[in-house]
Order: sequence, then C-alpha cells, then structure tokens
Amino acid sequence: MWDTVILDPMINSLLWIYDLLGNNFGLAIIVFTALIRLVTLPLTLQQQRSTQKMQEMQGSKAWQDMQKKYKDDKQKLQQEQLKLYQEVGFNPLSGCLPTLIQLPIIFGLYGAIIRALATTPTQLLELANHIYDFIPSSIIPLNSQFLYMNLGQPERLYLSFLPNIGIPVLTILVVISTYFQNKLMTPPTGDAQGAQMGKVMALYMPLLLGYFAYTLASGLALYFVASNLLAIVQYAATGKVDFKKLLSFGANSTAKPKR
Amino acid sequence: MARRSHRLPWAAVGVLLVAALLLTGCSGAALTPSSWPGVAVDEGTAYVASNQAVYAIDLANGAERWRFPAEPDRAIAFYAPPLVTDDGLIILGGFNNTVYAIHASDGRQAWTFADAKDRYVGGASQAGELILVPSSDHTLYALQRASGALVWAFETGAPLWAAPLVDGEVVYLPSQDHTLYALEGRTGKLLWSEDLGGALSDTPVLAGGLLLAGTFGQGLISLDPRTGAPEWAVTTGGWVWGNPAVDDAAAYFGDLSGAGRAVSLQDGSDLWSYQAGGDLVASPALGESSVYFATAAGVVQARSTADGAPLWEVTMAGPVNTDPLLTGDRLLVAVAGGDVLLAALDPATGATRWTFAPAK
Repeated sequence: MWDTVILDPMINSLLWIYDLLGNNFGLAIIVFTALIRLVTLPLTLQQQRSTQKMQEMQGSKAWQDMQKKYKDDKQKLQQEQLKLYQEVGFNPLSGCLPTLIQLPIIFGLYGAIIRALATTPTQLLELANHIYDFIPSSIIPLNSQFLYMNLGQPERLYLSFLPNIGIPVLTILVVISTYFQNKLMTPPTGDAQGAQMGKVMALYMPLLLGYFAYTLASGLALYFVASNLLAIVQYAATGKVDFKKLLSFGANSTAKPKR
Repeated sequence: MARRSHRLPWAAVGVLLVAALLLTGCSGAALTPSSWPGVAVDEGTAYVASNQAVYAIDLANGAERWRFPAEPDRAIAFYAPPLVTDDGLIILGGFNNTVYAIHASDGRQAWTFADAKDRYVGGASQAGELILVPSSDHTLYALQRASGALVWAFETGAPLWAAPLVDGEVVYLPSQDHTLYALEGRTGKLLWSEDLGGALSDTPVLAGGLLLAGTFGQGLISLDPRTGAPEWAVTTGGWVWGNPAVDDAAAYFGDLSGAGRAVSLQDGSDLWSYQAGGDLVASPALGESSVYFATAAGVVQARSTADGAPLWEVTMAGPVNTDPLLTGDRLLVAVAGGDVLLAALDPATGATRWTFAPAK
C-alpha cells in the first residue's frame, strides 16, 4: 500500500526528472524537492495561517488574563482555552493537519531518494521491482556524481592543502539551514511549554539532521539543504519573514503580551 | 522567587526520535543485507562469503573448517564470490574497500590491499601472476598475486560489480557504465570497448567463438571477442542480471521478468522458455541434461536442457540470488537472509544432502 501509493510514484517521478535533466541526479533531487514543495503549498499556507491566528490569539489580552487567572488550575485553563478557541472560531487541529498530511510525503521523498541511489545489489534489485515500464532502463545505474560529490556516499571535501582532512560541507550547510529555518519560521508563543518545546526542536533538529547528513548518503543531505532553503524562500514570499531574528540569540520564542 | 524547571520536554524529544526512526526505517536499508552470499569451490571445500565472515565448508558433509575473520568484525562485510587461486589462496574484496588474501588451508590472512575508494561487490579473477579485482569505485585493480602490490589500474565510468573474464592475454571487463571493455591482461591497455546500451552486472561468457553478456537494457547480447562487434541480441522482458550457462548449442539464462529461456548459440533464436514465478537474478547451473534455475523467491528449479520440461523444484528458506554451483554430485545453493546459508542438493532429485548454518 505504502509502496504503491506513495513510494513508487515518487521513485518514478524522480527517475523521470533525472532522465529529463540529462542524467544529473543532484539537479533531479533539487527540482523534485521544489515540485513537492509546490504541490504541498496550499497545505503549507493553511498551516501558516493557522499558526498566525494562534499567535494573534496568544498575544490577546483575554488569553493573557486567562493564563494569569488559572495558572494554578491546569484543567480549568484548558477548558477556558477551548472556549476561547470556539469563540474566535479557531480549530487547533487546523495547524497540525497539514503537517500530518505532509509527513508521508516527506518520508516518501526520503525513501525515494535512498532507493533510487541503489548503491548495493540488494538495493538495485529492489529498485528494479519499483520502476514503471516507461522509465528507460538505460538510465540505470544512476549517475550519482554531482559537483565534487558522490551522492551515494557521505560527503567530504578534501582540499589540496588539507589532503587528509575531509570537510563535511553539506553537513555544515544542513545544520545551519535547519537552524535558520527553525529560527525564521517558528513563531513566538505565549505558552511556556510550547516555547520550551520550540527551543528543544530548534536545537536538536539541526543536530539530528546534521548527524544524518554526516553519516548517510549525501543525496539526502542535498535534499535537506534544498528543502530548508526552499521552505525559507516560500515563507519569505508570504512577506512574513523577519531576518532580524537570525541575529537574536536566546529566549525569543515566547511572545510578549501586547499592551 | 519561583524555581525554574529545566526538565526536557519529552514530547519534543519523542517526536525527534520517532522522526529519526521513521526516516532511517523508510529506506529499508537498516535491516536488509546489502547483497547476497558469494560462493566458490575447490576440490573438497566450498567457500562462502556472507556478511561478516568467509566460511570454509567441507563439501562431503557441510561441516565448517574455518572462518575468516575468526571473531566477527562489524567493520567488515563480504558478499563477493571468493576466488580460489592456483597456489591455494582465497581472494575477495569486502564492503570496507579492502581486498583480503587468505590461506585456503587454514584461513590465515596473507595480505590485504586497501587503496580502493569504494566497496567490492564483484569477485576477483586470476590472470597468471596477477589478480584482477573490480571495485565499486569504477576501477579494476591488477594486483600481484604473491603480495597484493598494485601493478596497474583501469578506470571505467561506473561501478564494477562483476569479475572480469580472462581468456589468455585478453581481459573482458563488464561495467555498469553499459560498456564491455577488452584489455591487455599484462598492462591493462584498452584493446576495444563496446557500449551495450545497459548496465552489465555479471561476467561475460565465451562460447562457440562468441562473447555473451547479459545487460539491463537490451537483454542478452553476443559479440565478436576480437573486435567487440555485436553479432546478435535477444530482447527480454526484464533486466538480465546473471550470465548465461552454455553448452555446445545453446545459452540458458533468466531475467528479472521471471522468464527462463534457452536460445540458439548460432543466432540467438528461441529454443524454449518458461515462467519461473520470480525474479531470476542468479546465473543458472548446467548439468549433463539438466539446467538449474534459482529465483529471488527462493525456488530452485531443474529443467531439461532439451525442451525445458520441469524435472523437480524445491523451495529454500530465503531468496536465492547467488549462482547455484554444480560440483560433483552436489548442487550447491546459497540462501540469503535465512538460518541456513548453504545447502547441498541432489542434482537428480532436489533432495537435501546437507545444510550449513553458521554457528553464532
């Protein structure tokens, strides 16, 4: 079911783009990531609208008063929050739902890149059983070379004056772009627990993706970088991005109450 | 003053861990072996390379004689078919980019070669005093048999996953860059090359004055070994992964659409074919009047060479993508991913003579 509905169409789209782009897998990953971002744009916009609405609500006087009034009674606080959601016509699920719908797409994209690269006999045999008839077998095996990288191997850059030290350039880019994406796109929240969670995600997510980029095929690292940069560009296009946030370090994720 | 809590928000940590598991799990690579076992035999011993060890197994009863390395080493994984040399060495490359030479008598290491930049999938070949080892880093390494020292290297445009064929002074090298190369064995100098339109993942075969190669593109192709000029081709419904087994008149091979077939060596015309019911990755083994196919679903099938009539079939406990080997009165079948690694079958009936399951 997963293979038929998500993975196979993605693998074959990726291979088709690879064929169209003259057998450049790095470019195919970037274009494919951009197309996926385009297809899921309505969901992303809905999620952003929902986040903005939530943010406005959390900055309101009614919300702040409620936090103070019921700070020692969490159950009552939750009831009052739900009441406020109903009053302003806000559905808290409207923020998570687009994310949940996007998750299978993200995992599918990841799986498609891994399978298409097929650097071992088992992987290549697996790939053979997922390729549609219209994909020419002459493109197999994929050319995994992109710039100086082998996209099927973890990336390291060796400079002529440092021949024994491999610099993980893509890993560094993954960590930085994930950090920037989190920093720019995570809105401030009035909820202390949410703020703490945001901080942990902002710190650990770049490290986790950086670890993947350092240890797994560099095709994935390229996907992480492309995805992060495209997400930032997409967000910037909505006019809401505040690049000053990049220079602020420390407790920035808790919204100050509006006076 | 209120005390500030510094506890980790476990929900966030949980989300990250689940994401990590899903991401690594989605690739399917975490649990699946990277390849299938490689097998070779000499007079009394079978050598099986599978995952972290090379096993020497007594052909008479399936007992383990030795294994290399003696203690498991997580840094090493072997899948290439071992090469048994004239002077009693077992030579094969590992997934750790290193070639190992081991004494066939007791499994002691003789030498290693660690210059390659990628893993070894294909087996090595012997050309006199040279050992030719194809690497996934696109390069064929020619090493001194006695010491493992590099003599020459020949680079192609894609990974090399199959042992070269040595015929006298000429080496025929199949590459995944769709090209079959003919090289001068002593120096590695290119004699000719021919683009066959699809990746080549197994060793070509010389038969009836023709060079036969299976490809991922156009099926089975025959070439003039002196010039590389194509003679005839058999178009197939799926990739031809293994090489054909040949006798005086016919070539027997299978493809990934599950079609097993026999074609005339003279012009490639169909003699017979059948549906095996699973991907045919392994090259078939040829007996006196039978040909043995093995499917990725683990079914071993014996067919009559004359008309393809079924003789017997047995189902193993895992995929069989390794070429079955006929040695004396045993058909050796290596199984991937099961407890039993190697089984010796009776070629006449398919009955099991013995099995070998490595002690853990």
